[in-house]
Amino acid sequence: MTTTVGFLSLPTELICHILILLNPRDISRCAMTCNIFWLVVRNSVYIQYKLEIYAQGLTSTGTATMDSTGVSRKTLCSLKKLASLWRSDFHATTTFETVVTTAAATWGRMLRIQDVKCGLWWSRSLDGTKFYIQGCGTNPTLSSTWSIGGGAQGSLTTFDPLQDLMVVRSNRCVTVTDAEQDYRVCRVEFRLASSQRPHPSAECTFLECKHTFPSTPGDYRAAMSPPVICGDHVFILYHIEIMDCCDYEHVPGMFIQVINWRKGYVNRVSSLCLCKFCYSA
Amino acid sequence: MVHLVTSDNVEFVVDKEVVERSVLIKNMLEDVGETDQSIPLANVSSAVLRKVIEYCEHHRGEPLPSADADQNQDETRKRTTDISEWDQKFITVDQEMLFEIILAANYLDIKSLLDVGCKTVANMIKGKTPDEIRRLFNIVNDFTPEEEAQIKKENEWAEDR
Repeated sequence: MTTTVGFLSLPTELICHILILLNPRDISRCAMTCNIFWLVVRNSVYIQYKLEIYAQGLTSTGTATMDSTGVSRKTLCSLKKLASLWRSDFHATTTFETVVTTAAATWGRMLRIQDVKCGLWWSRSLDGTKFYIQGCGTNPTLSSTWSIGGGAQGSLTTFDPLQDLMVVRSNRCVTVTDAEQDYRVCRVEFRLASSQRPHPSAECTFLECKHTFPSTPGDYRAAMSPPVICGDHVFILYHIEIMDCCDYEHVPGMFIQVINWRKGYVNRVSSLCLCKFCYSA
Repeated sequence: MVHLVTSDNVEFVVDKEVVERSVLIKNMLEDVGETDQSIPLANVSSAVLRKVIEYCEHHRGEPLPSADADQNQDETRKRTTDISEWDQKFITVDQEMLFEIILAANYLDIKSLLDVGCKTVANMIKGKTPDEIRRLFNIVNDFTPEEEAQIKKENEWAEDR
């Protein structure tokens, strides 16, 4: 047994000090080498925070430099505040209960909150023509109102304030009859939330998401969730219903489509089919 | 002049100005005042201390980072992995010595030297695969096959860009 000093002889805080200098890809590769590194990466708030920002799509692809986080100072500030809140017992001890009183009459015609992220929540008005974004602080002030234009009315829309991204998903699917198999297409657009213009980081301004359905008798319907944004990816959950022509029996199934909005491609990741046709097959 | 005694019982006599780049020793001297007594450094061997003193001699007279260093300054220091030419030459040592220097710099609280050491290790890791990193640092893969598969899966996100 030699007592050679090596990387693993360093105390945890020094290993952490070194790993934080690396870009997310190198950090994750280090984490894959052995248990000690794995635990350091897991347990360091700073490293996790760095990885989180990267996963959120806020960093550039991490070529050798680590200086560019690609995030505005303001965003980074609020993220850091958020990180420090996670570190403290904030979430365990705070009751998230704020009565929002608003002067604007339009607030009365508001749908339920659509989503909450990074200390902001957003919603749209009942007539579907306006978006509201507001801070979650104790004294909520309306931070932004946007009119939705260009055919987004009646569509399902989601925001990511950090990426200034708005994803618009058409409500209806168009059925396309192909020689081989019928499939349906729904259209997903990527816009700048603040200006409604096409998002410059997206490879294409809109995508046509195809999905096929089983060739079974009966009426096929797919209900889709609003798009969910997580970093570079947009998720849409499809809930399938097949109305049996004879006995009106619902046979459900579901699958998730994952869209990489920056690169502009769609993956169908997992499929959970509960229908009797599959059981019998 | 300050007298230092290493773990292997070698005495070094060093200029106060040079040795005060170590915050640990600087604080010690402030507490004790002028003294001829030697300071024992139980965690540092003579081979390592020689290198550390060489570094301190070279950087003699450069401003020390203030105790309440500006946050921004701290961040730029953390982010960049550039090392000056002299430091690069200085730190071109075998791995054992490299980690010994990092440990000593940490113990003696010499921030700039600690940074040079850490950046060097970071640069060694850059762009390597897990296997290459293991080979480089003599790290034993102590994951079970199941754990490894799981970890690989969890880290896929970093690879697909």
